[in-house]
Amino acid sequence: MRLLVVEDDPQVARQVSTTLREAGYAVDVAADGREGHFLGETEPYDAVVLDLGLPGVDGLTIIERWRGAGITIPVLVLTARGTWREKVSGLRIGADDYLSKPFEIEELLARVEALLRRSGDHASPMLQAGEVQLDTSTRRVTRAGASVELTALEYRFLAYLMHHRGRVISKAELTEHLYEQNFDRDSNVIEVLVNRLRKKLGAEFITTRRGLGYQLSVDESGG
Amino acid sequence: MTLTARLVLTSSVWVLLALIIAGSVLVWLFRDHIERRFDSALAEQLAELVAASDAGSDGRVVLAWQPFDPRFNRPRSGWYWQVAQDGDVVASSDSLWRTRLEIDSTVSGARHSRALPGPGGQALRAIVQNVTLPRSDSSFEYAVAGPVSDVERDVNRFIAQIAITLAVLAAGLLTAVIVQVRYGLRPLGELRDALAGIRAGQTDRLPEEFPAEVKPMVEELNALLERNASMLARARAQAADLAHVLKNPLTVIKNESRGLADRRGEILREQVAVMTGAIDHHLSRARAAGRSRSLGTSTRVTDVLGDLKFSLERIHHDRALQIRVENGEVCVFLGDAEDLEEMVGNLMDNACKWAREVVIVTTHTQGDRLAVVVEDDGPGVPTDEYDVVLSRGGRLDESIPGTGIGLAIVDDLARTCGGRIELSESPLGGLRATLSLPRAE
Repeated sequence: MRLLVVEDDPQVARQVSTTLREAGYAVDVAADGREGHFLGETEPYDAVVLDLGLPGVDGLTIIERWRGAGITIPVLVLTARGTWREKVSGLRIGADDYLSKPFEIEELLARVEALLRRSGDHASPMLQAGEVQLDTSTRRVTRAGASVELTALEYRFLAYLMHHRGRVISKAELTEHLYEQNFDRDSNVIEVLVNRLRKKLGAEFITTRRGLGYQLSVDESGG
Repeated sequence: MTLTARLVLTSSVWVLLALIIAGSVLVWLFRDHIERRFDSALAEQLAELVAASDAGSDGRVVLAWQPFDPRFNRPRSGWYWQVAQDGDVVASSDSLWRTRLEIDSTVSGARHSRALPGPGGQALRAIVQNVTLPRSDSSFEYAVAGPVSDVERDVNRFIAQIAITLAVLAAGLLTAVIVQVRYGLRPLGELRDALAGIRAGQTDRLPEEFPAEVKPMVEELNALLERNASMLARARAQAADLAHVLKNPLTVIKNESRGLADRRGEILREQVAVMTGAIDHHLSRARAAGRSRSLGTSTRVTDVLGDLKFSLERIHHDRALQIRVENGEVCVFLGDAEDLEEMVGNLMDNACKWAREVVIVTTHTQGDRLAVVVEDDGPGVPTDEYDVVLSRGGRLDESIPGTGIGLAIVDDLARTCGGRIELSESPLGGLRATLSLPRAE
């Protein structure tokens, strides 16, 4: 899962991005409205955390432009003002959720996870594929009830597949959603990750569609 | 002393003085005229008397005829004539009847009029003339007299008439003065009303259509009001900016303090909560204060409820939360939309945070008030803790952010809008908040 954080305050941006990375997300940070708007338009993010009071282009305008351009990324708005007039107009324009500063970082995390579930159309924080269960709120993965230890990158990879289970996902798409913008992308890493996950979760769990990409084997159960 | 009193008083004094002088002059002129006429009538009689006179051979006066006027025959009528020679009366009117006119001959000379004491103390006015008749060497003193009371009677009648006329004129003039002053000073009254309107928030500047004398003052006042308003707006913007700037460091401190395992972290977080509460409280007050609560400003409650329902449903999308808005009748709030949004928004937000499944918002009107009732099916608040919930910083559950402070802000705003908030138990099981506000027709 790859997220964009648009926040001009460096300390808040640092806290938010650090926490999100610790939670297993790939995070890009934009410090002003113009950059944030550009990144949201050009990179395939899974969700955006957007401050409203931004230098350059303000947050509401950014949402308006994205929605106008048909970009439907879920947006969590951060604001210091927090009047209902602002909330209503933000949500009417197309923001998905709202958080007033000062916020609890856990609250932010919970809201981001809720947004991702919503966009993946999952009602519960528990994602399930076969006998593998992933709890997005606790970031715990179990296989047939037994806990499985994953690295941050493995978790991120698995979470993306689980959010989009049933769909064939290309290597390019995976790379785009797993790595931050300035990361040196190496498609071999994807193959290594798939092999490691197959070892931990079962060889049949991830199916390779030759020339197309990967797919989770979805059988009787689904979250 | 009021301007009206000053103007009316000075005008009245002047009008009364002018009328009294005019009246006096008129009376004086009239008296002069009447006396002249009286004198000329006497003089005519005297001339007739002289014409009728003839000196007899013995040097005595013989009257060929007597003046015809019957008043000369009626005794003590006040009308007399007398002819005297060397102090002796040689002929007189019957009205004198054994008396005579006492004429001080030392002052007599050519024909003149004088005052005379008459018989019985009657005041007389007489024409006296010394005449030397033809064929006679001696001079005869002719006198014709009439009662002064006749003159006085005419003059008094005239005074009475002129007094009534002038009194009516004075009343008319004074009324005109009062009307003139009132009309002249009316723009000042209008100015006062316009200023009162500004204080009441009905308008934010004075109308320009004032007379040239008042207009410069009105323009100065408008300039002052504009300066005031822009200062207020700047102060509000600065307060909002300050709040905005403080919120980022507060976020950082709040989350950084989690790293401190001991009591210090807890203290930091408490202090951040206090600061946040204070900022929100004062910011909302700064926003509400001075906002022109114009009588013309009214807000349809339904529109605001629709917006808020939409927003909260979107925010709480992932919960199976049902927000039901039940509009009994059309409610229009007498006040600003933003204030209403803040109040009802915070109430509904609070209800959504606590609710298990349902939040119900109902509106109804009663007289000149309207009520927005927000209730939820959450755990509710114990009756004895209502005051804590409404007091600033009173926060019942730390785990649900914003509780308490939100309600305190609603309470604050409701008071500035001329309303109030009441908490009670909802039949649904949770809290019922009743926001009562002034209603527009």
